[in-house]
Amino acid sequence: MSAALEFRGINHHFGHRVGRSGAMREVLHEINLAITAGERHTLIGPNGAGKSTLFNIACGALRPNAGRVILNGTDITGLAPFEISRRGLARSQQVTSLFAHLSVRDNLRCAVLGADRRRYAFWRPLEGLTAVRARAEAMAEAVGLAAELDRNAGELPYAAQRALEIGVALAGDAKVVLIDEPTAGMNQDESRAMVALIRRLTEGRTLLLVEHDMDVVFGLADRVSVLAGGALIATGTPDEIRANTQVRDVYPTAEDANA
Amino acid sequence: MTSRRFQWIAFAALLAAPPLFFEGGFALTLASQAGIAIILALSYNMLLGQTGLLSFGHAVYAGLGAYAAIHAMKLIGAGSLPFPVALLPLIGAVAGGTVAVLLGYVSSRRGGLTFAMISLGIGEMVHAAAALFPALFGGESGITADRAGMRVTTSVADTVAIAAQLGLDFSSAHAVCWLIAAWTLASALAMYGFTRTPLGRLANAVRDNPERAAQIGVDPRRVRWLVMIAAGAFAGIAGSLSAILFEIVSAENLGTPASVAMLIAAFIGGTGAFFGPVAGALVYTLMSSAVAAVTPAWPMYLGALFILIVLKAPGGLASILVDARQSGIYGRFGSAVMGLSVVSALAVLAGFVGLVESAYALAGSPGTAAGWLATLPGGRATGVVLSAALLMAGREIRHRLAARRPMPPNAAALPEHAA
Repeated sequence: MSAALEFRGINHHFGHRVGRSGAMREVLHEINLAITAGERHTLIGPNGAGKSTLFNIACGALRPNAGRVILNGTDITGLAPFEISRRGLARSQQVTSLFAHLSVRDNLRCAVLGADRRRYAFWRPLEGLTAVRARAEAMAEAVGLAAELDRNAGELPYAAQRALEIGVALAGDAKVVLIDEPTAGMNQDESRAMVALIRRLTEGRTLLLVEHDMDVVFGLADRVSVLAGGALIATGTPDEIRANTQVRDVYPTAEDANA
Repeated sequence: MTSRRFQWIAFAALLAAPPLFFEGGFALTLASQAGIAIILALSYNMLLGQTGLLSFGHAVYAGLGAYAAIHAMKLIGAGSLPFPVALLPLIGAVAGGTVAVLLGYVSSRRGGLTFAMISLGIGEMVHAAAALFPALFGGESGITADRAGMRVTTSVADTVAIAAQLGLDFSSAHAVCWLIAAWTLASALAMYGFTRTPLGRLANAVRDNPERAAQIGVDPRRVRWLVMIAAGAFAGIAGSLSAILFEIVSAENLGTPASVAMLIAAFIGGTGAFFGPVAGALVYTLMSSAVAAVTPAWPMYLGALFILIVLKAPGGLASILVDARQSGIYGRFGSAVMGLSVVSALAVLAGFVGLVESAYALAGSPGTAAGWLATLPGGRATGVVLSAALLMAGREIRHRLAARRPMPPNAAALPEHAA
């Protein structure tokens, strides 16, 4: 079993040290975590534990102060977000982040183009790239937006935007997928539908998921890692995590969930 | 699709009408200027409307394209460059595009405010640099060339040059108007085609959300850069056409005021629709020539119109048309409320114009309308009072009309998923 995505000795802090005693908040401390190819791995932890920071480091939005990020055996630390994306790592945002004035079809089409060598072509019509269009429409179908293809992303209801968010992340066919709190702000039905969608679309891919809803976490994950206060305190199967007393101390809701 | 085709036919007819129906004079100059303004506004909108880049330096590309063209014209006129005058805009396009390769590299790293500030700085720097090289930029007076001189044949080499000119004689304003109309149509078609390419669509994605674009594998900087090069090339085409039309290029063509004129034209017309900037360019040309012919206050009116658009219809004239169609306003023409609304708007406009014209007359530069106001019994004072009364009355009526208007049904409804 090889690691699809690996964090090696990641340290990160925000702010600058002023003199000897300046305020410098450490956000991540010595994170070592290997996500096995093909597994669904969930990251849990209280607010401010550093989960989103770790995501930002993985996708290149932040550069860690120390440590390496390895994607499929290649060091991607310090690469620009678009370069990391082209190497097959996709990310969906916690806060919905779409192309608001483009249609659902074009949102997905841009995502397909982003992974295509013809992305910057200006000598041929976009409509001529039938495979790109077909892929975009198939993805719309997969996330349940086939009826909304011509609607602008900014006009969609919230749950539909969340679904499109997942579709945009996956339309480029990335093999490693990072999804940040996909069910945040959803009611139970919407949340269930989202979990089913993620389960379906991440089949055969490697998934790293941040989630607060314990039903979602233990229902979807092969393995769970717990981040607290910027440090990784446990990694294991859902059952191991539930039984871990150290986890219960920092994350009491972990025992509430009954798988 | 058919409506799109109709728009293009209407656009082509609009471009062809002036040279078809006029032999010369003001109308042809106006039409020629409008064509150039249309290319500039459309190329500006490749940046603003399509890529979300607010530029205060787009005149750099148009101006340097114009300089390239005027130097080529001088060489053609001297018989040392066998190149068809009709294809001079290609030289401008190469010049504008090449300059954008260099300057775009510097300024494309960031969008938003950073891009706007850098474009302003670059515009000022290029304008200042032009003063340093009078041989290239002609200093205060600019560089001049003579279109008519390009037909004189004295040697074999010149005969080759004339043959290359395809027998077209561009000494007449009429021929130039045709030339500009043809290049305007070709440029507009090319720029429309650009919006429908992969790069064109990714430009929209970078406009809407550059961070997300990067996450799906698109380099926002590369997209901005490529769009800048394309927009710079089209600006260069417009610049060369102005060199051919006016036979003079000066540092003014490079300056920030020239860039701002493109911004105003594109925005008034509407940056969200492809043909929006065309409407804006027409309005701008009419203001700066036809309105300017009767009043020195035309920049006041242009500024007022710009502010009105920014506040009331940020989608520009194009969005006003679309909104009017969607709200079914056309069906209400002829109703009493509609009539009152139009009359009151005209009253506000007349009052505003009356006050501005009176102020200009008072300051010693009267326009045509100030002359009419002076003929009123009581003279200028009556004009001021009357204008103020019209303005206030019109405003009051509009205020009351607005209070009576029912809320549109969808504005009253709560948005879905309101927290």
